Amino acid sequence: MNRVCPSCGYNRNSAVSASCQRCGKSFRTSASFGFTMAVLLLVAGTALYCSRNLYKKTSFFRGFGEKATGFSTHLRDRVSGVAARFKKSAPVPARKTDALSPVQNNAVPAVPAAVPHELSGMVLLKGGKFMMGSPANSGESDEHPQHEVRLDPFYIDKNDVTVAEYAACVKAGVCHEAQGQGCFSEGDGFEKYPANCVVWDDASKYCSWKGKALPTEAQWEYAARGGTETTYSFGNDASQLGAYAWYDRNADDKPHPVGTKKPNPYGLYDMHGNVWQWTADWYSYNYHGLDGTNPLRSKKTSRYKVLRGGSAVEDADAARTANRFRQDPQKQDKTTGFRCAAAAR
Amino acid sequence: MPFKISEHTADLRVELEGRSFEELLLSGFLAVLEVLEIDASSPAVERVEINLRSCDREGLLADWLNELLFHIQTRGLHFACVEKLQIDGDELKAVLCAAKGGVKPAFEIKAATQHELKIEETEGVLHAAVVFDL
Repeated sequence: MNRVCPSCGYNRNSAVSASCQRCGKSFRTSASFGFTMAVLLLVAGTALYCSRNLYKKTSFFRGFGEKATGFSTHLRDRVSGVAARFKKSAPVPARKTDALSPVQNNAVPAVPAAVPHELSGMVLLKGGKFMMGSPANSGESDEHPQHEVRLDPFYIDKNDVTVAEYAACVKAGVCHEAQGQGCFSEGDGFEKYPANCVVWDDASKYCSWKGKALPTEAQWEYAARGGTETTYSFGNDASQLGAYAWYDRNADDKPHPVGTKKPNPYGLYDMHGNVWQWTADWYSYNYHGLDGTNPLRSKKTSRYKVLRGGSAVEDADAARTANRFRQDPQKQDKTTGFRCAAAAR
Repeated sequence: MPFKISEHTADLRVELEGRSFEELLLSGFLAVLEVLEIDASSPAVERVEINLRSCDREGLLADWLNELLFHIQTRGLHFACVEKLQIDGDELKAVLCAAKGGVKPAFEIKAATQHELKIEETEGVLHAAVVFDL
């Protein structure tokens, strides 16, 4: 049923809205109030009887019942409670571009100048709580202790950075060209392959150049889990890994083009296998000493940075979501690539 | 966070910001989840496609928020991510990932209203204040 607002003329396809959603004025007039109420009651009966799916109807009637009995003190307290939580927060900060690498600043940068259509190849993850690491009696020793982590919302690339994308950074004079045996380069038909042989510093530079940063280890694991607590994002059965990952059983010892296997529950590709992925964190032998909220091991605790995800030459065990690997940040390796992330703020 | 929540008489007022209209919509997505206090992670097993058309950006923003509320409160979905968000003229196309059940919102919001809703730009940043009818 179309309703036309008597105040602003807004036409809305809603059978039960009591007020205009554009200007807030009531649809009801004193002359037609009785008739309108009768219609509303009729529609209410119909809606309650036959429909649980029409949101605008059901939500209105729930609300109508509350308002009919008065706006309760209880509800008012709930409103105040939510508002109060945010009064403690600082106002929304102004955005600015920082010349320093975000990792040098020990902070994840804001999203690029504007999030263009289709999120520019990224997925927005809402963040929240998750269990990081492996439960006791499973996984490697450096995956312990399993602990609760809370993350703010963030964006992460759907795919590993490709050879073509990285080449643009090289052409811009920001990143160094990756060279060596088994390293992919543009023009040889490898444009859609993951950029490999990239040292940590160049990976970080690339992400900064795009207004992003390497994901923290916690962000990477949260994204890779896709909300699961299983060994892999698709469950515990390694026999299914071939559908989701390039690894030693199916990859012929070399990385393959990005995004050619099934995505994880968050729509992210190659979070298992293909190439190891750099993270922002320095490696440590366990998870002790990290904050529970937005953790990042920014202080150098070893000679290594953390790699995640497994690779085309590793077995199924290396591709486990909780698995960690360490690598000298200066090392160029044909099975190491990366993807970028950005804070949603 | 790209939003701020405050009291508004009997309702809730949320100030959103973004450097593009798309980012403003994404800020609205995060604000709705924050208001409803949905915090837990769960496997995203369902893809939700949202296609909307409205006569102006304010209408599109309100309709987007109301569509999210519908899926969360009426269908019992628990959104985990936004995979795609595309604005083409007066049309919005989005793909979100969600889990079903297991999470009960702390609040019930009847609707995002267009009451006093106006998108304004200040120094390249879009701002909008949305009043949620509780």
